[in-house]
Amino acid sequence: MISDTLVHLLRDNYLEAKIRGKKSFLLQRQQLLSLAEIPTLSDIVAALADGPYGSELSKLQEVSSAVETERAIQRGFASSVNNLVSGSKGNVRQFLLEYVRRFDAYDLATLVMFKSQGKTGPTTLGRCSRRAAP
Amino acid sequence: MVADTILFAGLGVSLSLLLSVLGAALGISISAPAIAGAGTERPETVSRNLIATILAEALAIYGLVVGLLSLFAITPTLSPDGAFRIFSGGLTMGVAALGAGLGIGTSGAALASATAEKPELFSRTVVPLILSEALAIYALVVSLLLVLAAK
Repeated sequence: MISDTLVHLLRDNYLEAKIRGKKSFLLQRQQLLSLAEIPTLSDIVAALADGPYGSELSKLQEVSSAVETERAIQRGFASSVNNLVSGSKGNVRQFLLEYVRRFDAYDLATLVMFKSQGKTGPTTLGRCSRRAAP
Repeated sequence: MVADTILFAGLGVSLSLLLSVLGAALGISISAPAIAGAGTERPETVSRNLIATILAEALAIYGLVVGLLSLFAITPTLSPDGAFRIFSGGLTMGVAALGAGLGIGTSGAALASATAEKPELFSRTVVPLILSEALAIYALVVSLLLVLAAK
């Protein structure tokens, strides 16, 4: 019991603070409602530019499809989770690694979808969520 | 007899420094990772949250002060009563610093986590940290009174 507490105090503080920081950047209900009222996709992308999704969204071309935008948001989230994996240890790391595996399914779906559209290999891989997986 | 009193007083000096440094190390090692984690998401909180590591470091300084004053009081003419005072002073400072270090570490980590989520909570969540430091200051006062009265 005491050893568990001590291990938690010494090992998990970094990750806990990091997750709480990330939590604070999640969109509130009111912000989501405001985004829903924005008429065009490009305006929504511009509105999200300052948040945690900004780095991936900024890589999109000026006119991007809804699918590409959705994938960019997905990649931003996957990168965020991968960032947590790199700072975690023990059971928490195992849990996060298991969680990260769901991106494999997304990536396979992306692969199938883009191949069906006749896109090339590098373009398809560039849209996969786990590009930066550890 | 003289050797015994010096040995006893020396043990007090060692305990004061050793336990205080241990308390400071505990405080820093518990709070610093949380401060770093919060800093990766909200860099603006790092400078304010560093108060936890600074307060933890101060514990080692308290131990050093008591230890040095005790060392100056150790003379060949030191009485058994004086040696016991130095030993008690060192033990009081050391154990209190160890407890305060644990308090500062855990409350400092909680402070960093809380401010990572809601930075506006800093002024309220810093209070437990200061109260933890106050525990060591009480012990410092008593230890100094004990050590300065040793002859």
